[in-house]
Amino acid sequence: MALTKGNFTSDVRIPAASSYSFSHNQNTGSNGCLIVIVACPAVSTTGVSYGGQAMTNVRNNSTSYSTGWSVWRLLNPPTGANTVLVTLNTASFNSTSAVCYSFTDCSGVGNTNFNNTQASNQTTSVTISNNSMVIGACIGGNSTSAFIEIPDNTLRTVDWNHNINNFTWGGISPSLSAGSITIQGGATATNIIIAVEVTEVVTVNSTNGWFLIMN
Amino acid sequence: MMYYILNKTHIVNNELVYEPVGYLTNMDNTLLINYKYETTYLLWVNNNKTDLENGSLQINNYFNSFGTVYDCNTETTEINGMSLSEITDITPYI
Repeated sequence: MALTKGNFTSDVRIPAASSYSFSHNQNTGSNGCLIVIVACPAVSTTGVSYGGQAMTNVRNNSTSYSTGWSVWRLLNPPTGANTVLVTLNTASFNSTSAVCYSFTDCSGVGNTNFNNTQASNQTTSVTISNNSMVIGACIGGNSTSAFIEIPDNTLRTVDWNHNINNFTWGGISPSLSAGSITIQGGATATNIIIAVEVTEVVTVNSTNGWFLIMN
Repeated sequence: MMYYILNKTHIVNNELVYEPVGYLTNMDNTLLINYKYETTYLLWVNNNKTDLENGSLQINNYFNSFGTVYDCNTETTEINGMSLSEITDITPYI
């Protein structure tokens, strides 16, 4: 089966504590996967759980915008509506962004790349496997006319655009062919960018036949 | 289709509690609710951020003075299983 993007949830709020939660609905289907990206000014994310299950940290970067930026994934998450619990290293009084992408027939997160240099219409490159999707996300000084291209010169829908002292926005591609791709994001100010490969589960074709077992 | 979750933030037993209370589908209504959120609670937090961060001011002070806060800052493509009803009359939240 092909990698399929399912439900999407975005949330932005002032935690006013060291943890907060919201709901997200994980699709039913084989080889489920949930990916969460958190952008939290002045603090860092120490954990994310979904339905009580701890998510695996894929990346956790301090950025040139003094914002913690982290990627989390959970294979075979519980399906239906469950709680996303975000835990920070300390109480935060800055607006914090979290976005959730659900998938089926997904093997998880593949390659990622992060360009922490602030520039207009910043780019980053990532090598992907066949049929992978790529999430592209930016943090920038503003989000007027925000865009995301995956690969570059191919605009994708901006799925979220959050004011978090600075701004963060992003989107996702459909399944792409294998190879190295460059993604680009921008607005009317400078920004940084991250690329996250979402990989398709690999199915092994079995062949009917006879086997002789000798012992 | 995008659903906008109406969140209620309030103090319960001296703890800050976030509670989804319904959903909206009219984006104009979410903008009205978020305008009040941004011009009241968000503004207060930003004006008092230093004191909140160093602990000389508690977030409870806002809720004790001004009461419950509503926002529509959670968006989702699927609300099944969340036991939420659609809200069309936003009068209580603006």
